[in-house]
Amino acid sequence: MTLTVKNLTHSFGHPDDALYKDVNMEFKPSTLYSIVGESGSGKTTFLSFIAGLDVPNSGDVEFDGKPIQKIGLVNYRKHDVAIVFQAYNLLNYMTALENVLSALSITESKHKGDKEYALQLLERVGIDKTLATKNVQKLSGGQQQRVAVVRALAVDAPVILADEPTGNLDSETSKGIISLFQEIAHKDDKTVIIVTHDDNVAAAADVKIRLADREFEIA
Amino acid sequence: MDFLKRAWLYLTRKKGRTALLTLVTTAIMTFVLSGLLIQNAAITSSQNAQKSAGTTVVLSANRQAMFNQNNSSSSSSSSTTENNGRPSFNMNQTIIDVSTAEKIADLSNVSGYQMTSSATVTPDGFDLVTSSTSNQNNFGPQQDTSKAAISGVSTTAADSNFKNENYVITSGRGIKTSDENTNNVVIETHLAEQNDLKVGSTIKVLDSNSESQTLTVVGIYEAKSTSAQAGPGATDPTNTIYSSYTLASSLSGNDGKVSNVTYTLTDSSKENSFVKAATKDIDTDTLQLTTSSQMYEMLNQPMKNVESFASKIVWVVAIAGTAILGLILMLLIRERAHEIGVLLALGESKIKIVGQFFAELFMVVLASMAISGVIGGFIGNSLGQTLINQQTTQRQTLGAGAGAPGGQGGPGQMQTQQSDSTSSSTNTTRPTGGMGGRFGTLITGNSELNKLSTHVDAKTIFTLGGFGIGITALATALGAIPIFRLKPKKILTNE
Repeated sequence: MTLTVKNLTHSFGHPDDALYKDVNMEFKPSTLYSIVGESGSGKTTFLSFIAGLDVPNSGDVEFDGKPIQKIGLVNYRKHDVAIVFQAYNLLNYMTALENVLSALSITESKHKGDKEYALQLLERVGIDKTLATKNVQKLSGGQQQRVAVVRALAVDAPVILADEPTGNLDSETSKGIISLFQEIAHKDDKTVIIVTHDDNVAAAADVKIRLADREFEIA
Repeated sequence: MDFLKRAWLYLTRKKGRTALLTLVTTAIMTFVLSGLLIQNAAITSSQNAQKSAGTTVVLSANRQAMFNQNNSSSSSSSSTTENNGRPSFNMNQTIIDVSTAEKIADLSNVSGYQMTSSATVTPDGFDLVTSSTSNQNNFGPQQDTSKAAISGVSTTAADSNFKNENYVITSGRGIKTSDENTNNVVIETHLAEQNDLKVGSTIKVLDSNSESQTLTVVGIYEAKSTSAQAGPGATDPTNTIYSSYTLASSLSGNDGKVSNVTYTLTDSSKENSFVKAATKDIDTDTLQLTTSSQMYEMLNQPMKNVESFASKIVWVVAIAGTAILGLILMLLIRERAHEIGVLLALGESKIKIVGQFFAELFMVVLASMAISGVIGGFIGNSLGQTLINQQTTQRQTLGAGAGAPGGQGGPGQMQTQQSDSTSSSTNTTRPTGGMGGRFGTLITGNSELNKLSTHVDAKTIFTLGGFGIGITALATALGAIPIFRLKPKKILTNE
């Protein structure tokens, strides 16, 4: 199930001042992609288009050969894509476990309501049962980010998108998160796309894409 | 974990906000419930009063006809007397022959009757109780505080004040039919204590001819609820002496006559045929028969006003409550924009997000309903009683202030002119005399029309639930308007 970007053009103002023009890309399963670029180059905006959070001025994002707008953006976000945000974006009135279970329920995952499955995944990133049953606001930044990653990988989505997932983490924790993404991509046969500033993270990707001068280049 | 579980988690984890929202919704639901309770109680009271009032017919002076007659004759003659510069007329209300009353009582369907007559007398050798209510009336007749009121009845047991336990015999006995043509009386406990009177004691009074009469105390009663509620013109019950109607008529110089007769019928459906038959025995220029259903219509007006007011309370509070909750929800949703963005990014539909907010508010409203069920009854009772008292007082004030026949002011005013020492008064002595008196009696006496018994029942809770769901749905719809404009990317990148 390939994610394809076709003739994507977008501008925030005048069409002549486009952020990107006629972007064509293909993201394949079992591959970890990194997109790097300077601040303001439009990396996060691009991610929001392929995540179905926003719609470009023109062009299409297709999943498994179908434009995501035809799939329906809500349906697409629910079943086909999972997102890890830089700011974790966990539901702050829930525990780590409840956050994961909540995502399983919303996405109608085959593991919906499976506490053991959620706890196992959390355990895999170092969040034991004690931490898992604590309110997420009581966890450290690194722990919260790991919960956010688990929330994304727990659902059955074949595409995982991450926006600066290590932006708030120390280098040791970052390494752990990156290896987790590699594992997800290669073992779970998922398409993982990471937007990052971090060269170490970018270097760990199977395919490194650089966004410079409004052009996407494979480095 | 579906949206209902999320709603429950939010409410249980965000205790401060939940408490605040519960407080606001409790206030709204309490007022809605109070309004519903008052409305229901008013409807029930009206229905019960109609049932209980549907079997009596009152024979009394036709004041309207007499008033009109007097007006026409006074305009063409010099018989009009002046009262403080205002034209007035003199009219004896104790005009019903006992023989006529008894003849009507012999008609079929009469299960019982109560004759009433009254007088004012001057105490001879004992002191009246002085109280604030006896000399502070600004409406209607001015009470002569130096005189005692004689309230003549067939039996005290049939008197509305005793029937409704506003007055209770504490010593001796009440007036019975066997007391006819005797000087037996029942006095109020304060009057008895002030003058060291006991059952068996005698007191002396000066009648309408200033002749001394000796009365024997056969019973002492306690006025638990004063007749001050009967409004202006009503006598302080402490100075009201109950006797047989024969004694009251005699003391007022109206031997063989009474001011009112209340017939109790065996079958309310025979009311009209009874009136038709009885009318043949009376002079309709001077006497009239008033059915309880007619009186009910007049007396029920305060209750109708309360019902209407309560209905308005319910709707005003419901509409204002919806607006307030809608605004609160808008503010809360604004605060929760980030959470909404996360849920949208996870693939949750906007409808389910709104569903979560609805569920949260509904759970709060359910809790508020439970709290309201406890406190709403008290507030409804208190507010309802205040309203009914206010309405009843307004009606009585209007009746008294009008000075027209039927009002308490008119007849009372007439009576005070009659005699230096005694007058054959009806309304000045106690509200049971005359039309105005009967209104007063029924208002004060009929517990259905002067009390609101509010209680929370299943039907009220069901109606409150309906309002709760309605308010929740509308407030959520109002508060959720911004959600439908939100785009997840915008929310998440603006944080």
